[in-house]
Amino acid sequence: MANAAAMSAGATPSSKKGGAHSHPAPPKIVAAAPPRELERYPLVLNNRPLNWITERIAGVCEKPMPIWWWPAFIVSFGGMMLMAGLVTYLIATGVGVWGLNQPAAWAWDITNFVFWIGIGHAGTLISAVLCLLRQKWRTAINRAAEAMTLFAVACAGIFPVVHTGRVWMALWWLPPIPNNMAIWPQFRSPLLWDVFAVSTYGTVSLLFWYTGLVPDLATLRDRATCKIKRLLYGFFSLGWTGSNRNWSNYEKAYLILAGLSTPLVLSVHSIVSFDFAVSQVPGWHTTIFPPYFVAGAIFSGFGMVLTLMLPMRALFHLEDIITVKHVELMCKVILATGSMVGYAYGMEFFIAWYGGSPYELYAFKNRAFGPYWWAYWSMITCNVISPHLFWSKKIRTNMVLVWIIAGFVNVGMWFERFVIIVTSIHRDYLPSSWGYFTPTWVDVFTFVGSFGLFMTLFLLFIRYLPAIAISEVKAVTPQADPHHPLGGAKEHHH
Amino acid sequence: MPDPITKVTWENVVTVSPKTARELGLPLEKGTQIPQDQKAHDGQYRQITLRVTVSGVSVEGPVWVQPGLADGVVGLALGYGRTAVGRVGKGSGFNAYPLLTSKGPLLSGAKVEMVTKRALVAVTQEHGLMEGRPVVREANLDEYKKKPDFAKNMDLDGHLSYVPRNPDGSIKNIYQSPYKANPWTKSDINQWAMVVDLGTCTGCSACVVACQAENNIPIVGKGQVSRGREMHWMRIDRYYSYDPNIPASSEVAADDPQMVVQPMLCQHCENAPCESVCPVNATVHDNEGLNVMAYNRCIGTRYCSNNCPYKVRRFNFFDYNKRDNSFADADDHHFMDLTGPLYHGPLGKNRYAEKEWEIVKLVKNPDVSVRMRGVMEKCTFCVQRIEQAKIAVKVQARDSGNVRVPGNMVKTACQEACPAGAISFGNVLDPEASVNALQNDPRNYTVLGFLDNKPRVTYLARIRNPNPAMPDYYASPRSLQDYERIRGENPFEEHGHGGAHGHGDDHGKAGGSGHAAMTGGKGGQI
Repeated sequence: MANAAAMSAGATPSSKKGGAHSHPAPPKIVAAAPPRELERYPLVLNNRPLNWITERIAGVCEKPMPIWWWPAFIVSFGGMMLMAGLVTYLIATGVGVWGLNQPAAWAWDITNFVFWIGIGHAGTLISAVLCLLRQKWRTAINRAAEAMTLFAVACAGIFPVVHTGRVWMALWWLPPIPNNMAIWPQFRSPLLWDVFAVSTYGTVSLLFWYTGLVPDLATLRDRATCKIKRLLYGFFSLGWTGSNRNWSNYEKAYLILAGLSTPLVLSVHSIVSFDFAVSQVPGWHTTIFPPYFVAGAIFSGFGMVLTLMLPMRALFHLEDIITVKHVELMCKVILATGSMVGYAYGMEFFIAWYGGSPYELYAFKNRAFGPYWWAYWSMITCNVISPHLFWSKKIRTNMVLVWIIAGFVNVGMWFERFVIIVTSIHRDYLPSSWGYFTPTWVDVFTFVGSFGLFMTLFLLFIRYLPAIAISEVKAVTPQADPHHPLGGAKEHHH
Repeated sequence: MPDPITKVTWENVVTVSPKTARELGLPLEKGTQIPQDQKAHDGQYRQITLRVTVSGVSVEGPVWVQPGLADGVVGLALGYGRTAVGRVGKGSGFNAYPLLTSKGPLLSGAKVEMVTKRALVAVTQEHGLMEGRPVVREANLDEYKKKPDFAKNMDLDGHLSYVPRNPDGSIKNIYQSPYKANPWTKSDINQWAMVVDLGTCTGCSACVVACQAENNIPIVGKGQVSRGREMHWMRIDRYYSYDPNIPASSEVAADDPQMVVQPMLCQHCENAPCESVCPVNATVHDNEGLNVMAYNRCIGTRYCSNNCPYKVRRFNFFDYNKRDNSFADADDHHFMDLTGPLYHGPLGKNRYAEKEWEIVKLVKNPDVSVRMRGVMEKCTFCVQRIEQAKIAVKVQARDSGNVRVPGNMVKTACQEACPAGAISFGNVLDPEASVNALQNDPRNYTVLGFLDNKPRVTYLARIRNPNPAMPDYYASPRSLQDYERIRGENPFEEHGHGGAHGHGDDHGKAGGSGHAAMTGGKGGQI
């Protein structure tokens, strides 16, 4: 079943050899194993057979959930209900139940929005960009990361909608619906760009995720033990038979979606950053924002992938599929993007001084030494210092430490958005308007509740769907490579 | 309405000077001259309570350290702390009348002691220093004579030579100035503008009250003010400037301040930053230079407010009209305490459904919409008066076609209320309009003009004339000294010719260009 993984022209060395002699021998297909020093690390450890992979991954969602799943689900579900209740209270009563004021007309609402949308960037990066770059290690993590993306986008989408004063009008007027008054949305507003960017991103991510799921849903359908499961998995697997034509169409669709998603990885957070960069507020009006936000989004996204994936890996015994090498590679992405983010922090300060605007300079001084200094230095500690611990291989391969540092990355990136938003607007041009923002408990628990929503969706995902792309992992095993000594479907049937 | 100087709302306070506060042993915070802890970690003012005793009678109230108050004096405002006044006056302030005797309002021999109790005080302005920003521009008479248009030579206005320009010399922006991009949208009949003379404004705040009454601006209660949600469309910004020879961190910095005030309202920018960020076109420009709000269209993203450099936009965080916003319920701990009828939402009472509303609504101006929660609002230049004037002129014009509103015909509510005549408003297309003359005054300047927002509200710089024979004579107002010191600039010299202080690192780019075009130039913004 290995899905057409014959991608390299493996026959060339032998044909070359053959060409050197006068009477050409038929080229040999079987290649010798590469020299040891050139051998790549295996993506699935212990030379697991294909059947083992299916059993292990499908087993997670076929067997009853372990005991811990239930308390985790109940707590998460409670969080989700808490958020639902608080959002209802907000919409019924007014935005004033949050701590917002003049001048800080945005605070936790938009911080949470940018935080979640940033987290949603890792999935698409892993699935789309790494797919186009032929990074085979992505296969072990892409499914869960994409799911995480979708759930993060769902959380992100809620905040900018409910933060408006009149949600019932917002949902009606933000889409460009032709109307008898001939009033269109304001196409110059970055908030409207957000509407398009986030909804496009959500849609494409969903399609991408679902397309990748189809072969695995068929696997689950074929293994289903009861009629309901068979019908539901059967319905969503769209009549997949595993024929060559199916695979050919699938590969094409997947590649097209990867191509469509790749620019979105860059565009969505660029557009989110325009919410700030396009404004006049000192501290927001910065051309560095688009690349800085994209790097930060990938940084935070990988932080969240690690936060979720490491416990999942341990609890479901997936160590042979999500290997230490995978975790190390993700740590390196965090290191790279974390360094970019750190560079951006430094560059912002340099430009604030070099740019010559005293207002800009003040905004940055105020960030570091003003009333919100604690937020700024929390951000610096988490985002600038902690990723550099990943220079050490010892730390990269210590799963507990990686998990803790990934947690710091998540915290730091939330603070980054808070710092950018609140410290800039709480003291802008006219000192008479300067103020201070304090959250209320409604602010805090709405955010806490959004984690409940996120975790509820994620727990349901691992309960009902294969959390790792079964067919794709198989495709990167030696068995799937016809040129590998173990290649071909010789020893193991599917 | 906030007190014109202290900016305290809803109650009276016991004012003492910074020096007296030190002598009383109030723990003062350096630089800010407010009692330590007065501004707690969450931005709220929780004041130490003082007990003032005169001839055996004592009253208690929250202290307010007031720079500029005479040392050794305790100031108490009368008329607060009423007990039989109904909802509005209940719980606001303390009654200082018990101290009063037939000897008159000046008492001596007061004994002051600290009470451990703290009280929340709601103020509308938290920061009182300009930080070297030339928001209010002022000079002494001699300096003014030397260079009458000095005010145009301040802030970054003179540093725009490196900015890309259009062929006509205006600054090149991503979006062209709307009236240039679409000239047909600009009326050639009426164009409105306002000039505020800082030389005559005393900061009395009558304009704030007039505006509130005219425009149905909701009263929000002390709790909301202390959270920074006052709704005034017009405010009086009050700035202190301390002696520049004393470091700001010194405890004596605020002992002898100068003070300036500035009415601040929607500047009706031609290139309005609020308009381009609204996702639903709820704030747009009309053809007569007004930045107008379509309340019905507003969804309340508040982006306009964030992008307003003047922070003059006000958001209805609650249904301030519909819900009962009792005033005495100022909560003390803002994180947890979301008590009070505003927070009950639909479970609270609906004032529109009560009989009393029939009376309350008579208070409202029928020509102005009452806004619901979730929408943004701000100064309209009293658009209802403008419209009435236009209708009146049209009725009068009949077939003559002369429908231009005479320059000084429309008076805004704030302008009418101003006892000093500091506010001028009118139709600049009428040569007779007083705003025309004032815009040509050399003192005319634009606040934050370098942003190229092209406000329709401009200010006339304030000129001081201190007597050289007096011991506290100063050669230059302190705010100007601050500006010169912090920015390293001298507005009385042309830029680019090497000022006395040279150009600091911050301004190197402006050198060698002569003086750039001024955005606040005379009449240039129309």
